[in-house]
Amino acid sequence: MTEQDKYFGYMGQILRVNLSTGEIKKEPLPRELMEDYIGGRGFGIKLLTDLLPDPNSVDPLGPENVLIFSTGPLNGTMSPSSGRYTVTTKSPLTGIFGDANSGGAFGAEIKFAGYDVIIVEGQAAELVYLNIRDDRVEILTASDLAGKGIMDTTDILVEKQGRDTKVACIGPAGENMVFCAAIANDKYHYLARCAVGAVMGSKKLKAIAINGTLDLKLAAPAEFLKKSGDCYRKITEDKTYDDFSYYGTAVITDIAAESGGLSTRNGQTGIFDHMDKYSSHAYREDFVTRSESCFSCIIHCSNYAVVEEKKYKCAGKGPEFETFVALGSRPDLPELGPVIYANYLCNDYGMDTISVGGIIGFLFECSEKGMIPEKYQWGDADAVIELVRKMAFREGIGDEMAKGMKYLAEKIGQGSMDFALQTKGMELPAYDPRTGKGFGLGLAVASRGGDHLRALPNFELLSYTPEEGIKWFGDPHTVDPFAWQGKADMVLWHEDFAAVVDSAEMCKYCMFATYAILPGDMADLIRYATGIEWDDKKIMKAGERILNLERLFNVACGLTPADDSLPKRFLEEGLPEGPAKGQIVELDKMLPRYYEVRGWQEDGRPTEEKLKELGIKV
Amino acid sequence: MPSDLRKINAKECVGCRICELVCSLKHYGVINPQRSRIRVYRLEDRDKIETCRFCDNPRCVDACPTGAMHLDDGRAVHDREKCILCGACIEACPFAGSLRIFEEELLKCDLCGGDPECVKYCPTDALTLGALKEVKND
Repeated sequence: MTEQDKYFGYMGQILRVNLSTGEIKKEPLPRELMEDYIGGRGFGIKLLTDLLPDPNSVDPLGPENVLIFSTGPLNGTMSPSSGRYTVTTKSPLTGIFGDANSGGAFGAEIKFAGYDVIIVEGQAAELVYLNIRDDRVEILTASDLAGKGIMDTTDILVEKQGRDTKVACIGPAGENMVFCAAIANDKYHYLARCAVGAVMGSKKLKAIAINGTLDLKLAAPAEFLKKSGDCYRKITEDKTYDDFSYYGTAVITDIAAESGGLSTRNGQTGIFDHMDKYSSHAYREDFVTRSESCFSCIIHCSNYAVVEEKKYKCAGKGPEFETFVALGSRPDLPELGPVIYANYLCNDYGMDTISVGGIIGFLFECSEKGMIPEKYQWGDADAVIELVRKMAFREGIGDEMAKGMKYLAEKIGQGSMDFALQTKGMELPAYDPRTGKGFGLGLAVASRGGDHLRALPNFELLSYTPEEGIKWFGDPHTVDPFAWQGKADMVLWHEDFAAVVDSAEMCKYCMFATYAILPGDMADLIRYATGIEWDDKKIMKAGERILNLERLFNVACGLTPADDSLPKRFLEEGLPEGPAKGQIVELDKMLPRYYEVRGWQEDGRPTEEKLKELGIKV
Repeated sequence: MPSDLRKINAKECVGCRICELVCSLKHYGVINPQRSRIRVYRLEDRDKIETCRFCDNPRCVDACPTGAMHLDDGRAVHDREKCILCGACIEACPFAGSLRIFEEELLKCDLCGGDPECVKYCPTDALTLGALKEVKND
């Protein structure tokens, strides 16, 4: 019996590669890690905490930072939508804990190669890539890939290493250490947030090419298969399934527009004049050629989009809701073709469209208000496309934009910080929190900075009845997007559950679009996969543990409660028109209750009592 | 000529690869796409399904020197005991990737003996029961 025969659901091995020394080590996966932190995101923060004991002294772009690729116990299995994985690091954009999560097939391939986690340490002397085939791990030169985009890099490595190879890589933006650089896997799936691509660039690691041929064993295969089938049924029977599987996240554009919160002209208004071109139906009819799924996903929400118009000609995976807003409604572009093209460029350069679009929208408003010498007009698609390119290659003003929105607002001054849509230094996502107060709280407290996916409290948006609000969260207001009452408790539940889902590495669309898959279902799936005795309470406790450890890391990086905030625009400037006219985020009413139920002190740190309860040793 | 025993409509395939996972679990009790008798490859703007088409006049049977690949009720069936892993069937098959050798074993779809897991779990109409359904219902 080999070491790996003892593991079910996990492969039982951590791969550690030091690019400074060239040392390659394989270590057994510790049992405590599985039992306390589940996998994926949980593994990420636990290993980051252990590897960087004094995080405040770590230069995110220095060799002392680490880049952790982690999978969960459901990756590689037929559990619904289990194709995700996480990369964790200290973020150069925010200076605190940073992670990013992506779909596709790369995460599963890490498992089939025999690893749960790949830790990259140090810094290579020249551009390299990591080639992994099961036990064989090589650091190879990537000098011929320097400067190449995501599409070419992926094609070249698959050609070289064989068609079963999965590739994660950076583009020019990552090599240039742009603070919104992403890591792309399987060409069209992006670990986009927190500038994880810049960290990979700082390590001079162009790509990881991986191909696995090993068996993944389950503790209770028959029960696992049956449970997966039950979950498929719950998901397909849900009312949201048909729209999501056909239109993808584009349906959220419709929802946001209807609520009067489709962030337009850098969030100056929630009413967007070009919805006829941006509706999910128009997008699907005019540009989409087919639906695509990630590994083991029955929802298949991705769309392949083709633009024929000569000036914006491109073909590839099309934009998601976030990108329609970031590169579309925020800069107020009237047509969708240029948005799809700008998305394609961000993809090929390897950049986070949320951050890139957010920064462009901010700059447009600065120009409108005469705060900068450059002249930009709302709706100027060619200016957007030009700025995308300048950011990736750090040309002219692009070099300043590449340092992030917060840096830019500090430099421009003149009160521009009030409408710089960022939190903790990270550019905020699409959904205007003035039309979803739970989202507002979630964005303010998210452990990786301005991010909606830590909480994703869709419960308030889905027209549940007040009775259902009482049943689930003890407060009828939790179903009213404009209400702040009851939202702290609701957000907390979502955050803990999201940490579980991210750690098992399933896609949140299985549970936060439908509320069909619940903590008990997750506990069943993970128990049948691993043989570890999970139940709904224990697994939610693990989610809470993960969230609190992320908090501790951030406090050690110097984060204070003042950082749990939102831009002044969302806190004080009511939406000017439409169904949400006058709405602001009443953050001051929600935050104290949130700290109270979290068990966090006034200095932002979890109480000793809370840490003891969660079994976190400091 | 491929038969319609199991209908393959590649245009409907979204590339989730659940078929690979349930196939390997059914035949080996573990999950491993490399052991699957059906594979799906994402090409730029489509997914390619590779598996036995159960041809009416299977060339793999003609090519087999040992009788391992033989006809049973007019369909190609593989007998592992007689197989010498020469690869002649793979050469002869007009559908690249349908037959593969992995770890000293020729992998060929057996339709799970009449109730194929891949069809059962396919979330779209990419894999459906064709003539097989009629046979079963009789």
